[in-house]
Amino acid sequence: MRKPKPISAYPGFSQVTWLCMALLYAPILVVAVYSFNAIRSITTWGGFSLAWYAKAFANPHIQAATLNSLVVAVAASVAATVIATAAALALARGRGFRGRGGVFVLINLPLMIPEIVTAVAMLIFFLAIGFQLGLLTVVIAHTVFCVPFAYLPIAARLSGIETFYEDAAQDLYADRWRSFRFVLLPMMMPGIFAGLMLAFIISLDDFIITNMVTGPGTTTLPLAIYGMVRVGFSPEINAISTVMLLVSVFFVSLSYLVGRRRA
Amino acid sequence: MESAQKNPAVEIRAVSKQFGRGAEQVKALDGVTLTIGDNEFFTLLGPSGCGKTTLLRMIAGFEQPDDGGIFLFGEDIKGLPPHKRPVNTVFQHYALFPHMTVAENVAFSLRMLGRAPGEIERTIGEMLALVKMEQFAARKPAQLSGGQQQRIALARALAPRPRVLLLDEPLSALDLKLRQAMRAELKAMRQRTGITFVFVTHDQEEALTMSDRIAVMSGGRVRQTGAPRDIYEKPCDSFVANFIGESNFLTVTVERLEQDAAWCRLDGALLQCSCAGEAAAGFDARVSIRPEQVSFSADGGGGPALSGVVENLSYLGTDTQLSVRLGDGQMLQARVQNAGRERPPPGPGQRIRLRVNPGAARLLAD
Repeated sequence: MRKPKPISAYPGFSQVTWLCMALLYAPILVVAVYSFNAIRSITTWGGFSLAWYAKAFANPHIQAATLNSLVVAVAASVAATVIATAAALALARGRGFRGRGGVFVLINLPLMIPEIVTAVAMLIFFLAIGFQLGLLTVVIAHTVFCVPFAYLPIAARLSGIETFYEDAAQDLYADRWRSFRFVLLPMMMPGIFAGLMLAFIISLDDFIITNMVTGPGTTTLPLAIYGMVRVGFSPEINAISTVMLLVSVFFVSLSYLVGRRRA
Repeated sequence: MESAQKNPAVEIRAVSKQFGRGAEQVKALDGVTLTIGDNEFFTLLGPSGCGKTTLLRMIAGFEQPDDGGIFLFGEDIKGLPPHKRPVNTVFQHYALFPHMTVAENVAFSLRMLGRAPGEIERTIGEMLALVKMEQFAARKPAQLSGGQQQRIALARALAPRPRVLLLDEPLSALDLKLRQAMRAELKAMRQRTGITFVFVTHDQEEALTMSDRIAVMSGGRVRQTGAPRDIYEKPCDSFVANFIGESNFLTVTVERLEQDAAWCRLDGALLQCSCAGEAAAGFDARVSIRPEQVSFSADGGGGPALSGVVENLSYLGTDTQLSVRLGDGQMLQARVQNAGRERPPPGPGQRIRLRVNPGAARLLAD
C-alpha cells in the first residue's frame, strides 16, 4: 500500500493555510491595532495612544453593561455547571434508567437548535407566563443554553474515573455523600472547572438570545457594542472588543489547560 | 469478647447470587458455604469467572447475596453497607486516591471514623513503618512505582485495624520478581498483625506458598477446601487436580479396597492409591498421579513396576520431563530432578521401567 504523503507536501498547502489564517485573524488584528489609534478613525493610523481605553473604561454606559454581563455570566455559568454536574453524575453513575439515551440527546440538543429559534421560543414563553423581562430572564435563558457547554467536559472527565475509587472510599468508612465529597468531586474538579469557564465565556459573548429576552434598560456588553456601532464607529469600540477578546482567550485557554490536566 | 473467640472470622452460609436477567442470566455463586477461622490466611483460588471476586465483594458489602447469610465473628452482616463493616480491602488496581498524598491516603479511613488528630498522626507513622515507606509520606501515588503503590494500598487498608483484610488479586499487576518478594512480605504481615486475611487469586503458586487454607472454586461452587498440602496431594476431583499443578489422569481398574487405600491395576502393575470418594472394586476409575511422584530406572530394580517407551523428553532447567507411553497405550508424564544424577536420562525410543510412589496415586471422585 502506498504510504500517504504528509499533507504539507501537497502543492498550495502553505498558500491556502495562510489565506485561511489571514481571513480569520487579520480583521481581528486590525480591530486590536486601531484600538490604540490616537485619532478618531478606524481606517487611518494617527499614532499610538491608550486614550480610547481610558474613554471606554470611563463610559458609564459601558460600565453598567459590563457589570450586567459579568453578573449574568457568573450566575448563569455557576447554575449551568451545577445542573450539568448533576446530569453527568446521573447518567454516568446512576443505576440504569429508562430513557437514558433520550436524556443525553435532550441535554445536548441546545447545541444543534438554531439560536434564533431558542431565542424566539424563550421570549414567547416568558411573555406567555407573564414573567417580567429583565436581568433575571437573561440569567435563566443563559443558564439553559450554557448547560450543554458545561456538560461536555464534565461528562468526559467523569467517564474517565473508574468506579473502584468510590468503592475504596466506602470500604474505608466513607458514606455515599462523603465518598462523593472527598473522593469523586475532587477528582472531577478539573472537568467541572473547564465546564464552568466554557459556560462563562459562552454567556459573556451571547447576543441573539440576550437581545430577545432582556428587558428595557437592561444591556449587556455585546448589546452595548451593537448599539454603539449603529450610531457610528470609533476606536472606543475597538478597545472594548479587544478587552473582551483577551478575556475570552484567557478563559478558554484556562479551561483547556485545566481540562486536560491529569488528576 | 468470649464469644468472638469461639466464632469464626467469616462464615458464608449457602450463599447464591445471580447476575443478569432472562437468557443472559449467570449464576455467579451457587450455594457456597465456607468457614474462615480467626487469624487465618485463607485463599479463594479459581479461574476467572469462578465467583471468587463476587464472594470477596460480598464480604466487603459491594454485592448482596440473593440467598444465604454472611456472618462476621458470629454477627449477621447481610444488608450492612460497606462503610459499616469492620473489613477493609486491598483492591486489584490499588485504587489509591490520586489527589491525595500517601499520608492522606493512609489517614482517610481514620478521618472518616472521626479519630483524634494525634492518633491519626501516630497511626500514619506506624503504618508507613510497617510497609517501610516512611520517606514517601508526602508523595502523590502517581510518583510511586507499582510495588510502592501496592505497599501503600496495604498500609491504607490496615490503618483502621480491620478485623478481616480482603485482598483482591493484589499481586497481579506486579512483575514476577516483585510478586515473589511480596508473597513472603504478605505472609509475614499477616503474622505480625494477627488479622485474618482473605486472599483472592487465580495463581495456584501464590495460593500454595502463602495460605493456611485454600478454597478451590469453579463455576460458582467450592470444589475443595483444605491446607495447601492437602489440596495438592489429595485433590478430590479432576478439576482440582488439573487446576493446581500438573497431573497425569489415567484410567485404572479398582481391585481391592482397604480402610483408606485402594489397590488399582494400571497396565499390569498394582498401585496403592488414596481415595477421594466412594470407590467400588471391579470397576474402572480415574486416578491422578503427579509427574514428580513417578521415578524411573533403566533396569527397574525393586517393587511393582510399570514399563513403557519414552516418546518425548523436555529439559526444564531444574527437572527433566519424560513422556512415556505405557503398554496399554496411556501416556504418563514423569518428572525427574537434574541435580545429583550421574547418568543422562533415557532418550526417545528407549524402554524404561517406572515406579509410582506408594499412596501417591489419587483415586478421583469423578
